[in-house]
Amino acid sequence: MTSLRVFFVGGLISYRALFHFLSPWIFVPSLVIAPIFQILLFAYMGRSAQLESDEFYVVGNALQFASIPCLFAMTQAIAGERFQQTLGFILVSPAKRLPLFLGRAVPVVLNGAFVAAFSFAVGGLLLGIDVPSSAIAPLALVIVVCAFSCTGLGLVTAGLSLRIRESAVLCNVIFGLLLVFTGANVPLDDLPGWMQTISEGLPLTHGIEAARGLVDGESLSDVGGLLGQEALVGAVYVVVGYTVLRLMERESRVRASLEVA
Amino acid sequence: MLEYPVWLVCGFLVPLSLFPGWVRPISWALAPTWGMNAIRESALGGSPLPDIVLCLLLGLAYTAAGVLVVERVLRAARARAALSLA
Repeated sequence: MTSLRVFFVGGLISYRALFHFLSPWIFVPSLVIAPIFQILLFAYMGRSAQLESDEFYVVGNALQFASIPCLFAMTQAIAGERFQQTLGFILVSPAKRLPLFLGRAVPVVLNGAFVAAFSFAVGGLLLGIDVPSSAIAPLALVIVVCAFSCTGLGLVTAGLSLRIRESAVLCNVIFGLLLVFTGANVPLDDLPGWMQTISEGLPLTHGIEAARGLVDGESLSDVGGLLGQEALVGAVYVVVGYTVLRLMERESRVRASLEVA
Repeated sequence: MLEYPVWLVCGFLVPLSLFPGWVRPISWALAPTWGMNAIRESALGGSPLPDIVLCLLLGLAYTAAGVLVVERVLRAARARAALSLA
């Protein structure tokens, strides 16, 4: 019961605490306006250079933008508490670490999924993308899986934020890498071999491909393999992220560096 | 949040001719549009001077507006004792 409370209530309170230093008047528009303009920018670049279709950029960028809440909110859920010097109180508590850390990921997954779904819906409406009605429910599933896998990567950056100072810079760099490597704006086949190899191990790559397949009329079973790969990549990042968090927690105790900014 | 709109409507990466007519006045009101025009004119052997002047004038106007806004916000923060509050 205590672990369930730590998982759900603790996670929710931690997410709510982000708004202590982040005004909703800046936070909300940055998550609903910026992705629309990212979609428009790349779609118009595609039109101008006569490259891919509008649909290609709407799907790619809507899903890729989920990485903003997934990376930043997940990292800040841990780094923010370190910055405000409340992390120490949590880590001296006997609460089990698994529900403690993973509980903080649940609101982030929902936030990321909402951003991707909203961006896809508005971007699709603005650019006139036709989505088969049968694809809507499977697309929602793909979006949630993508948000999950990206939040897994966010757990890794959250763990690193216990040692590094500029976690926001790190998240920005990763956001840029995801923009290039996941096939959001460049077809994977056009990337050099070494980049394709990296793409295989990144969140969003398989999810974006699955979403494009669904919009093109494929069924959920057709893209089931890609969806499974996306979920697997996410699960690996969650395990790695949790391990990094535990390692960094132990290191920060040994070095007494938990609250050293 | 404002990066992408500016990149989009200032003609950095996409020709402005692709956009509907109502976007043009927004582009003209942004200094980078004229800066970009000046770079293009220079590269193509034209005269960048008019674009540079417009870019500078708009830059000065934005600076003046920025100073006014900062002063006003600072005065309000002092009056409400809210300067150090998040």
